[in-house]
Order: sequence, then C-alpha cells, then structure tokens
Amino acid sequence: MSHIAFQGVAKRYRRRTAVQELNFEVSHGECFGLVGPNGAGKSTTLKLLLGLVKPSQGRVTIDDQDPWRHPDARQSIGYVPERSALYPEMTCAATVAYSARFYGLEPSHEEIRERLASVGLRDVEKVRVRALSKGMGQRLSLACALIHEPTTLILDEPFSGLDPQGRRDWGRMLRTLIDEDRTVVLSSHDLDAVEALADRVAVLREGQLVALDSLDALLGDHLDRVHVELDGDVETWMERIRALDGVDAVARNGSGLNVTLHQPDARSQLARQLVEAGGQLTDFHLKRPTLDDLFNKLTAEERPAENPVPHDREETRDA
Amino acid sequence: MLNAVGAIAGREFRALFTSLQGIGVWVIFALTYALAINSAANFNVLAQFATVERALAAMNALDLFLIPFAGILLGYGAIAGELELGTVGFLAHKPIPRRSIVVGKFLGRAGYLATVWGIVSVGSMLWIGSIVGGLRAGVGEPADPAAVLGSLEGAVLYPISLLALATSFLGIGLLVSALVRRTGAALSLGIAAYAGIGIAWNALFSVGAQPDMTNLVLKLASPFVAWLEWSNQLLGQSAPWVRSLAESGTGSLVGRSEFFVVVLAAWLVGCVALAAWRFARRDLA
Repeated sequence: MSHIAFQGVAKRYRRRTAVQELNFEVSHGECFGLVGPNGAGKSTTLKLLLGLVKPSQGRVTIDDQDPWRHPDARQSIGYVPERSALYPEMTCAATVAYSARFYGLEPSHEEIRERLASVGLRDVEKVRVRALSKGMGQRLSLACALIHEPTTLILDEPFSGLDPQGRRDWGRMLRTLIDEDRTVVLSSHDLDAVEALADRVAVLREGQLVALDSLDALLGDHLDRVHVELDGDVETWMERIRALDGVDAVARNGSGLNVTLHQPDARSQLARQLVEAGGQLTDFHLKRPTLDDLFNKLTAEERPAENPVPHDREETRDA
Repeated sequence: MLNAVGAIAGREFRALFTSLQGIGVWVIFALTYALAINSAANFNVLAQFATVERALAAMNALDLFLIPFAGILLGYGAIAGELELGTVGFLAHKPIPRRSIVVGKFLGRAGYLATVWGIVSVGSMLWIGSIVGGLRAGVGEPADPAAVLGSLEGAVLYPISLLALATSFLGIGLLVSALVRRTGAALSLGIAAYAGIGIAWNALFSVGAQPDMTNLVLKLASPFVAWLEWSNQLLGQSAPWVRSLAESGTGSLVGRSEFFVVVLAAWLVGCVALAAWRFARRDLA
C-alpha cells in the first residue's frame, strides 16, 4: 500500500488553477522530489498533503486518511516550511518544547538540547527566534519537525537562502534522515540537491505533472548529452551546433562543448552533421544528463526563445 | 485536544504581555479607572455620601465606549496576525483540529484580559477605597469596608460586568480576525462592527414610549445596550421602562440581569463558534 497518494487532485483559487490532475503515490521510506519553476504548484502540492488547503477535486491521503478531514493523519509528519513559521518572541528551547506538546510530549531540557545539537544548533536554548539567521531558523524548524520522531518529513525549499556551506550541511542532514528509512517529500529549486537525494522526481509545470519517474528513467527517457571536442574556435562551433537539428542546448566545458540533445538516438545524427559541417572531432563521448538538463527541457516553453538554456550553470558544474 | 488548547492558550497569554495590543488593554482599563479615582478625590464636599460604588458610577459612560474596544483590540490580530506573519502553519500542520487553535487563542486572550482587569480593578478599588475611607473618617462617617463599598452589587458586580463586556467584544474581534487575511482589514472590520453595533443597532431598534416587544428584545440583544442596562441595574440607575419590564412579573426574563448576562454570553459563544467554523474551513495558502 502506498504511504501518500494523490488521486486526480486539483486545487483552484477563484479564477486561478494552482494544480490539476495530480496523480502520484509515494511509498514508505522513499525520498520524493518535487521540482518546477516558480508558480508551478509545488508549495500548493505540499499544502494539500499537509491538509492546509482543501482539494477542489480528487483525494489526498496519508496512510489512507485524508489530512484535511482527519488531523490525526498528520501525527507521523514533520514539516519544514519555506518561510519561517516560528514565533519570533520565543526562545529556541521554548519553540521546540511548544512543538512537542502537540504530539503529547514533554521533552526534558536535556532532550531539547540534544535535538537542537542534532541539527547543528548549539548553545542557543535561550536565544530568541528573532535573533536567528535564516539558516539557523531553518535548522530550528527542522528540530521542531523532528521532535516527535516522524516517519515522514515534508520539506518546502529547505535550501533557499542558505550559503554554500549551509546547503552542504543540509544535504548531509537530509541524507542521514533518508538513510534512517524516513519518507521524505522534498520541494526545491536546488536541482543538484534533489538529484543527489531523491529516489523519484516529479516535475511540475503550470500546475500539472509533466514528468514523474526515477531519476535514471527520467534522464534516460528524456535526454541525451554528449561531450564534443573539435578543432577550431570553440565559440564558432558553439553557435553552429546550436543551429543543428535535434540540439536542445550547448554549453562550454573546458576546451570542448556539452551538447544536450532532444532524443537519445540523436547522437549519431549529431556526429554526422558535425562531420558534414567540416568539423574535426577530437573527442565525442556520452555524458550522463543531469536533472538540471531535464528541468530545462521540460520547462523550456516558459523561457524566452533567445535564451533557451542558462549555460553558466553547466559550466560551473563541470569546471 | 485539551492539551493542545492549553498549550496554545499559555503561549497566547505570555505573548500578550509584550505586545502592543496587550499593553493597549492595560491603558484602556487604567484610563477608565482613572476617572473613578478622580471622582473619589472630588467627594470631599459630599464625603457623607462617598462610596466606592458611587465613584465607579462615574466610569459608566466612558466604559461603554472604551471597554468594548479593549476586546476588539485584543481579538483582531489573533488569527489575521498569524496569517500575515506566516506563523499560522506552525500550528495548522499539527495533528490537532483547527477549532482547538481558535479556542486556545480565545482562552489565552480571555485569560490575559481577566488578569489585566483583575490587577487594575483590585489596585484601583484599593486606591478608591483608601480615598473614600479617609474622607468618610474625616467627617465622622462610618469607614468600615461595607460602608466604604456602598452596595455590594455596584462595587463588586459592576467591575465583573466590565469584564463580561470586554470578553464578549473579544469574541467579536476574534470573529473578524478569522474572516480576513490582514490585520489592517481585521482592525477596520472590528471598528466597523463596534460602530455598527453601537450606533446603527441602537438607531435601528429604537424604543418609543409604548415599546413593541420584538423591537425591545432586539434592542436589548445588542451587547452595548445589554451591558448598559445591566450596569445601570447594578448601579441602581435603570431606565424606567427597563425597570418596569423587570418588575412586570410577567415571567419574562427581558429587563432582568439574567437576560443581559445571557445576551453577552450568547455574543461571546456565537462569535467564537463562528470564528472556529470559519477558520476550520479556510485554505491556509
């Protein structure tokens, strides 16, 4: 039996449709990633799951219970929202203790201290929430979410606003939590992190599910990427390749180019076109596409045509 | 659910001591009692008639306008404030019914209101009592507690009626807070409700020399009118038509203290129940 299920779910706010026809399931112990551009419906999907908004159509269940109608369905859930939902006047220790009371717990001072330390917050028990940085606030939200040892964690943009070190720390913390066999539903713009953590990924666009599968299957089905090195001016070749049939994106990578193709079987066609165009190939090998490539492809329709792919991201990754 | 209600009420209660709204309630109560203290200090020429009850009677007109505002002030940010700050998700995703959030918020705020009222009332009464006692002793009048207080109804039940009035308007404040998303809108709506019930209601159900019973009941169903008539009865100042109703012996509750208490309680319970109903059904997007 699935742990979480969305069956034909739609959510409409007056004239705007936030999500529609959502059908997916999440199993126990799975890390499920939700990606999509701003306004794609990721946060609404999580709020439907938490029972914060009522579906206009369809059914959301957690272990066969509707979280909107049955608050008990949320007993095993820990939630870290995108924006801090903590009370600024409370101390860190009081915040964790307050959160625990809703699960019938009264943790000791020592237990609270340990829970805070487990998320990297030390000696902050008496510090007020308003004095915390964004990153520390996120950690405190996680401490609150974990105080009742939930089997399921729902994380809405946990990496937003964090510095690179903070992102790495969060990545490690989440990896540990996933390895403890918790179910994790993760919504994020940080595609690298989702790629590193998620077993399956759902891509949302304009409120609709446009792709859902394991990462390997998604990347294999949707994209192909090759690394090409040619004699001659790289910039010139970049422009020429971009104009070829079947090419989705081109990005510079060292002395060569990474070329993303529409279809896996377009590799041979690309090689043929390059040779026909007079190129002297010194290297031509398959590169594993990333979630970033997939995301760019699936959401490409929304970007202006003259700037189809943010190449700098690829260059940073492969440099 | 009781544990959750208690936890929410406790946090609300503590948070109000450092909030602007919470401080505003202290100011409103202090301001109304200041008038009674001032009135007691002016009893010197009529010291033989000076009592705490008579000093409190001086507050009556000001209380009618200020005390309901204390309730609105304390209620309008309860839910809209959390929606605006984004903290509502902290409670709303917990495994508790939404109505327990509203009930917890109400109880915490009502507890705060009662605490402020208790501290200010007891402090002011002692102050007024010491002024009145000193004046009475100065002209050779009895200065024992019973003589200083005057009628027990006026001196003890009148301050309790103030708390009842403020609490019923706290219910109204909580309801407007549950209807909108912004505190500015909630405060505007709260003030509109305050003005509407206080002025429009009174004008709508005016009572002539020969009042129609339906009109009379509807007029007295306003929390403003209900409290005013109740307080007048407590202070021995009832309007003749209300007094005649109370003394008519028809068996009707209308015009008696119990009726006014029921009216204020109905406003309170009705508004809190509506606020809980609305909050339980709204999307917290």
